[in-house]
Amino acid sequence: MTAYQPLKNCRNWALPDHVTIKLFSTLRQYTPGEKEFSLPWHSNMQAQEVLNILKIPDTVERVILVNGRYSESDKKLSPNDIVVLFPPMAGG
Amino acid sequence: MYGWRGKLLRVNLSTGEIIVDQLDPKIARDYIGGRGLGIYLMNQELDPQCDPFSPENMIIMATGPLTGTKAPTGARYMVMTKSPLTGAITCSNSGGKFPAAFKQTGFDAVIFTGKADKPVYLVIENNTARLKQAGHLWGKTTHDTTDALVTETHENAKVACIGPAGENGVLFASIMNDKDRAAGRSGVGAVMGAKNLKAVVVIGDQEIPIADDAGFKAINKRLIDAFRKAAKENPPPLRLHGTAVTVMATQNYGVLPTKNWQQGTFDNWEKIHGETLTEKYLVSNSACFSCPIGCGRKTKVEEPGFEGQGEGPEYETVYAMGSNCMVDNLAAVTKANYLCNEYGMDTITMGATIACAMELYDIGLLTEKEVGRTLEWGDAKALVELTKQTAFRQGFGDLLAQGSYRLAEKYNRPELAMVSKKQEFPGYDPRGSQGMGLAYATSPIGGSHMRGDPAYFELLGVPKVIDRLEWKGKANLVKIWQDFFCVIDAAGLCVFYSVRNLGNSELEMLPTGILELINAATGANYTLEELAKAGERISNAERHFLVKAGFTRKDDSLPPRMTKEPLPDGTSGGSVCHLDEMLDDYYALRGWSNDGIPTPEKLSELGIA
Ligand code: SF4
Repeated sequence: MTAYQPLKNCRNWALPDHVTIKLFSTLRQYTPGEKEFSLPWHSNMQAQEVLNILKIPDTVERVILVNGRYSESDKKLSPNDIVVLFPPMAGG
Repeated sequence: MYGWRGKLLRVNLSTGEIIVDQLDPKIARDYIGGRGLGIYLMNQELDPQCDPFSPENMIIMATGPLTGTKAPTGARYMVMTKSPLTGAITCSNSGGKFPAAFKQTGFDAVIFTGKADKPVYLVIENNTARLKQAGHLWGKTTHDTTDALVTETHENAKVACIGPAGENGVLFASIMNDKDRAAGRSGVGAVMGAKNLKAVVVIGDQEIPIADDAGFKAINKRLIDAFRKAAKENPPPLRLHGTAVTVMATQNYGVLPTKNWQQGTFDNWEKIHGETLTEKYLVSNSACFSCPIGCGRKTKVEEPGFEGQGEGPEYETVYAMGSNCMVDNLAAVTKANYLCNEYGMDTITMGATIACAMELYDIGLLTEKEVGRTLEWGDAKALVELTKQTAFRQGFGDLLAQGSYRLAEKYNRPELAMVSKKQEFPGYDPRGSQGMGLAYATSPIGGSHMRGDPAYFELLGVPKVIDRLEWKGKANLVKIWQDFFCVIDAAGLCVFYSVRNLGNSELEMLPTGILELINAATGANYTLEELAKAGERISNAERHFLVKAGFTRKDDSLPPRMTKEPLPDGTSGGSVCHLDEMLDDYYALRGWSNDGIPTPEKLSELGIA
């Protein structure tokens, strides 16, 4: 339905076999360093694996976006995907 | 009565007469209070065709049964009048400390009619009220007015007032209370100015009588304990970074309005993000009366040219004055926000109107001569300078003071105003958030997110996220959430807390927690169905007023940019908003004709006359 276009600021777009991870707000504390970083991609990689690598406990609430679309943790990732994690929010 | 005070204050500004009226218990039960009480009174007493600036127009400031109680976020009041910006109703909501103190004076609401022949202000002090001359305050900023009134009345006085923008008839002038909290939208401050009413001062310290005191305390304790426990594991992002933290979500979803809504992403978004605000300018957070969240931002800017101190900016301001104008200078956005607070203007309409002017300038319809300066995208100095000029209606500011619709119409391009019912949108592009498009189009005040906000379930994950690009099924959710928000607004609570903590956490949201609180406070023994029905009654009563004022389906519209021009960029790229399809569903679900008019059967079912 929607033509997906890459985010302009993605540094890793040209690199194959990586996924880009971006953490925001209260989830920043789980970053290994940079707020935006890449992880090597492999086949059968799911969003849950990213949560596991970052050691984000199941009790911590989060919204997972893969390429700007809301996704469940079993979402299968493809090379060059952009995974955004942020806490649910009430406000505007 | 319990919860409610049972008394309304009526002030005729033409004659100076002040009378105390009783609140009919049946009306209180059917319409709850706040927004509901306001629309009931408007339907009964106001000619829907009246000129908003005529003495005939009324201003209602109304609290709800939970305002001023210990209920979490029982902090809010509603300002209702006929809007000079839209010709529809206003329901401008604000928190801070003023509304609770108002209720603690012994009144549920004050109703102003007429027009004073000289500037006046009203003082309400524990069950009594009097009008006083305000000539010496005319022309003062909202901050200076507040300080002066506290000095001349009482150290515990709380003040709601207008600034120069309201006095000068800026069509989107706000009413500011506690200096920096705004009943912001639709020009409520301009109506106050037209009535020569500078301020309302309240000095109240009466506790609100509660029907089941022990039960009410127990519910509040349970809610606050649960909130604190959850906050340990999941600290509220709003407390840490304020509402402007939403920028990262809208940017990633491709719905951050940019360049007068020509784009859905802003390259320099991180410069205006809530986290940047926290790092660079935050002094402390602030909270409204009885609020456990505290989303307010006390900030200070030291950059030369933009120095200042105050509150803000909120997300909506950051979108309207930032990405939408392509201004990536957060100091300038914050400064323009301070000026809007001090002069008393709505930051959303101000920013969106400047963005519209920038587009008119970009395509050559506005010239440097007309504007009195250049007006390129991203011009931070222009943002601040034009905000000042607007409040005083100087030069080009006189045109900006009319809002974006009238500005664009003057240059024969009304479709370049990003409005519904002539009121500017908040910062979520409906092309990538379909339900939001329906909410904008059907909101009784025009472009607004606070009358039932699909961003929660389309973008922000509350109670969960559903497909934002799908339009099917959204009409039902928008209807349910609009009615739920009516209950929140009528009860006197804050939406930010209520959606996460006082509903049933289902997509089809019901006011379960509000039910407990209202019943304990008032003893009214509502059933859940009755309370939800009261929300539907308020929605329909508002629509009834709009229909009498001449609004129909043709006014439930979005500009063609939203329905015909696909977003060119970001993760919503290629998408348009399917408004017409959703409207058909929505009217059918509401029991309205296909032209958007409530049927006689629907009105009679809800007891609306
Ligand atoms: S969440 Fe924010 S706006 Fe709402 S009551 Fe609390 S401080 Fe006020």
